[in-house]
Amino acid sequence: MVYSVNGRILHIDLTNNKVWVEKYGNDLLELFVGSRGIQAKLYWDLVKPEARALSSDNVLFVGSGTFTGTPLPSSGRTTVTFKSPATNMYFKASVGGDFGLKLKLNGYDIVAVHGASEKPVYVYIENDYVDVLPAEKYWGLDVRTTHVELVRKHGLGVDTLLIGPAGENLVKYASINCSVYNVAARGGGGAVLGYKKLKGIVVGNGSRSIILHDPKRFYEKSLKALFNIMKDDALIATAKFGTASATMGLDRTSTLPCYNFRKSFWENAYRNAGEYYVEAGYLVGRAGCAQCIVSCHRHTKTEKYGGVDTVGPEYETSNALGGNIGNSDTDALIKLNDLANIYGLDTISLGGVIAWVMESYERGYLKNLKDELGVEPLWGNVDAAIKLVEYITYRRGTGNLLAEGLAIACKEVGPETCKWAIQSRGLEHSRVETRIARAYALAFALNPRGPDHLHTETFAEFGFTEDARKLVKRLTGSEENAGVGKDAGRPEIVAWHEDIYAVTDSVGLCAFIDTAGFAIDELMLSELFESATGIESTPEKIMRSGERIVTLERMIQVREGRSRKDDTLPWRLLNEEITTRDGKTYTLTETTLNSMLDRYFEIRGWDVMRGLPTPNKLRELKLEFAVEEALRRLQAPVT
Amino acid sequence: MSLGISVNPSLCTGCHLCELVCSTYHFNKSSVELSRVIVYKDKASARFTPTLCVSCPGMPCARACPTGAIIENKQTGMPEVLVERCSSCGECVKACPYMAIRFTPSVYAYPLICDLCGGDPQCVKVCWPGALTKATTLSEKFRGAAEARSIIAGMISKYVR
Repeated sequence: MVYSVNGRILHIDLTNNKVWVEKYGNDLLELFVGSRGIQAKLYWDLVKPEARALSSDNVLFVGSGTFTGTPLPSSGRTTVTFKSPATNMYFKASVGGDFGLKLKLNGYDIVAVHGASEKPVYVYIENDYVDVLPAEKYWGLDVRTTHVELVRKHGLGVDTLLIGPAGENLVKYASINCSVYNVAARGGGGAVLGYKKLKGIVVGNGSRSIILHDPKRFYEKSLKALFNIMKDDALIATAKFGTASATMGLDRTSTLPCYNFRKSFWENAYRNAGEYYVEAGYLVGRAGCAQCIVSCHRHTKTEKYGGVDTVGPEYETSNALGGNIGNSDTDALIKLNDLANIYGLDTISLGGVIAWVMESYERGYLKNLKDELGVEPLWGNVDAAIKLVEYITYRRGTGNLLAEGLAIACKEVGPETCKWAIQSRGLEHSRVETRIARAYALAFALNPRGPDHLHTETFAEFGFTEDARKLVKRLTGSEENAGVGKDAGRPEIVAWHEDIYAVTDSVGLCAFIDTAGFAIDELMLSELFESATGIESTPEKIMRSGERIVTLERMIQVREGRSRKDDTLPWRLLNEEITTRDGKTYTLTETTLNSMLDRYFEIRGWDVMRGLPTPNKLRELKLEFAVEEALRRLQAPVT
Repeated sequence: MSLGISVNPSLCTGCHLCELVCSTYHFNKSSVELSRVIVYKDKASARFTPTLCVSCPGMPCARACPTGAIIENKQTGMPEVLVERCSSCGECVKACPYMAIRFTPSVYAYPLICDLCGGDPQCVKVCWPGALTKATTLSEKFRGAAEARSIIAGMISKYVR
């Protein structure tokens, strides 16, 4: 008997039009905690290292967290796992909304999508009824329109996971949208579904119940978490002003990347700030992910640009399509965010691409765009940005190249333009200045996704709150290590965040709750896990599971060809200096990054030269199945 | 006797926590289909509202009940379903002016109506956004309920064909 989860994985094979259910038990749950961890194990078993991302050999997993559907606040997050067409490696994306909750209430924890269909289809799941249905009439429609049509067909109370035209057109940074506006944005999962010709998955209202091992204890702990959330300063700010409440803090600490990472602060930053969206009347209301009383998602409106009524923009979008492209027009920002929402595009990569286009144009490249777009892609030209979104989504003209992402596009336009293509390993860099926020730099270099925040967000590094400073002290021995522009203690900060993130994602909890705010600590996590599942747990044990997941993900990528030389950052961030608002300059050299990496691998107990988990470490973590691969890599020369 | 619970739809963020808490409190397991609060959502427009029993004067649900299974709970003032008399016909659901009775026979054989958790409503406790609060006046309570009703009617006309 399993508790808190269904213990059921729904497999769908689109090539052979077959559906089957696989059951699992507490052994898997104990080792891998939930969605992200279990899906990493399934990926190891089912996705061959040589499988191409855009092929029927790729398997895409969508899974709800172990606490999803319980009364624990803010634990409705879903993990999507697949081989990324952007990085050609294992990738996991995390998404809010209701999809995970509804999936679980229909009796499944994880859906695994195998194969590819010849014709557009969508999957409908309602308890034991699962069907693959034709989707020709929805193919080509945007996400919002498709959602409305599918709810009309299947009834109020259903939820959707969908791709938009960008996914259908195999844009390398096409997103997967849940509940319309909650986006598993990164890594091009939308293109994976586009290749499979799967427009989406519709889940019915769901009539199952989540059974907890010790409901009374779990409920008590949930209420405690709730009261902690309601008095946490960081979470109060997030509830009030959304994630874009971070904008001004980053601007103040010169970690707000503007103009394609040439500036670290900006005089117009306030136009991209959550406080401004409220003050200037853009905010209509708030939208919560399943179970989330913080409800940081913004419902916004503007009469301009033909009238927009949408959800967002988040912090990352506010900067990626704001300061990053010199855009201080908040109405245009809302429009751009909505277009990305309904076309199904990752706004971080999109903003990275547009900023690179603008810098390239300024430097004398891509001069054809003036005629092609009918407008010059100059910094802050929002009409050009809006045009580019359309061109990329529909792969029109130069948009066809831009849809491939920066790693490919810059090589085509001229290898020298790769110096300002802010990407590494095929993924465009998230919106934080990693030359100054050094824990972020290390975390991004190591991150299996690429240089991205939502995998190991080391927000505590900033030391914005007392709780954050206390955590830094606990991890590194000194509160002095909190704050930006410092190298000391970064490997320790990163390792802890990696582990807790792995657990947090796997149980479905939002990382804001335990790494930006600090409403739940390791002890509470273990108590919640124990009372939910009946599996004995301690803070050490639960963090050990986090380490196990992180190590497995590394081994998956090692098998896919990753080695220490890939633990790097975009060229500009390792080769150019950045100036802060106080006139100080910072450089992050490869030497600095390398010494942080050395220390990190030492802490992990991995092979330092190769960045490779050792066979002993794998055995210790009960990952025996990966030992053979590690031995093979140990015998190969260091590259 | 308390005045019951007020709904403020414009503050609802659609998170469903009230529903999961409600079912956990009453049934020791969590499911939206076992909740006495019902959250309606139009995700495409980001409009949400909860609805729940506001104990209307004259209790139309009780009047519609052919078996006399709904009585007034003297302690809370809320309608109470006597399951031994209930025939699961669903007449009360149709009679409820606020679409506030949950009845999904495949999940639970009887209609579910808010009982204020006997006086300490859990949904109010967890609703940080403030869409569910302890009512301070009757007029505020019925205004909120009517607003919720018109939002739900809008959703039904948009989505139910």
